[in-house]
Amino acid sequence: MTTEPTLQGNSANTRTIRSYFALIVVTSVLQSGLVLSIYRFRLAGGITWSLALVAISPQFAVIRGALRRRADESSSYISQFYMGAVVFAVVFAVVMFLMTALLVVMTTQFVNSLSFAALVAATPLTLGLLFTVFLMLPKRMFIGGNLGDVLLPVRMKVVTPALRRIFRLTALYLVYLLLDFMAKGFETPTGVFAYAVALLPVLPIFGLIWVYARYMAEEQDEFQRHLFHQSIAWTLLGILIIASALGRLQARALIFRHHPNFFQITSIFPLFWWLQLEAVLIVNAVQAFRVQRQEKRETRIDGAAAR
Amino acid sequence: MTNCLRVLRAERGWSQQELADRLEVSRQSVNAVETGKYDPSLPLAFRLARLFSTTIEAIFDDQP
Repeated sequence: MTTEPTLQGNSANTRTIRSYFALIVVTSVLQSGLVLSIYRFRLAGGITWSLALVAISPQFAVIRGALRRRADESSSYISQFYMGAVVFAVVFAVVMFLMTALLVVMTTQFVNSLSFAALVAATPLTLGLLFTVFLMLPKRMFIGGNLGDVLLPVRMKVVTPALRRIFRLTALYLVYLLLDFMAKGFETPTGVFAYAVALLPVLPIFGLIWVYARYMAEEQDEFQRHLFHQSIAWTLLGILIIASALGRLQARALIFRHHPNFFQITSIFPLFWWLQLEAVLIVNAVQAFRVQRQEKRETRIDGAAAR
Repeated sequence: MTNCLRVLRAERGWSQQELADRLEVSRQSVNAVETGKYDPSLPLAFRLARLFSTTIEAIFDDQP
């Protein structure tokens, strides 16, 4: 039987792991910024590989950080965790390298590549935001002994099962975005098939409605449901403002003059998806942080009263 | 809306997590209700009242 030693109470380990996650958050924001700059400034051409290397350079800090912490670690469980983290960081760096290179090549060959740029930039940012949640929940972390648990060492208990299902479906949506982007490379079909292909990107919107409807029906926790409704409302309003403002600027040919389809629904939709999920994560993280802070305060008050 | 959930909880020596487990909701929900940031639905208010063997009016007060 595999035991799962908890990190609770082991403040030295918790601190080290928290600082490691903080490093991941900072580097992921930096990485997303670099990817967006590469896309925004249309950097391309012979320096493709150098640019891709620049985009993943913050990742080296994460790998170095994990290796250094592993060298200082006496516990074999935590040591395994860092080894898993290094493996993950290396695989992630390779994937990001290839994706950024593809993005650089793509900006010169395709007109509408915003979906892909959003995907590439959103990947490290989302991982960073997920880690932010973990940062807020140090007491909820525990590390398992087998390789599976080492590669996926942290569990997020604050997210309800229904919400977790949405995150799994988001992973599927990423695959869809990639396929959608790859389909653009093929010759445009004709006839009825052309209509089918053109309407295909709309299908995930129905998927999203189904997933949300299911979530609202399944979520037992009414406060979580309330937070979810709020995040949908605010994200929709935000997207409406962004899309309206950019649409007006585009109508007056002030921006994206050469890209008439830049703000079509298939580009806005992924933006909505990501922002909404991230809003849920942030709200959850803030809530969890508040609960922890209040519990600490209560413990202090109770302790003082007992004395 | 104000409430005396914290007092009722303290009387029984329950943490927010324990109360959340008994109500089958998340700890955040208990925290949000307790701090007055979120007003519970009637079913949840009834569950709270039953759990503490009292009435809804004894727990919640709509006077500021």
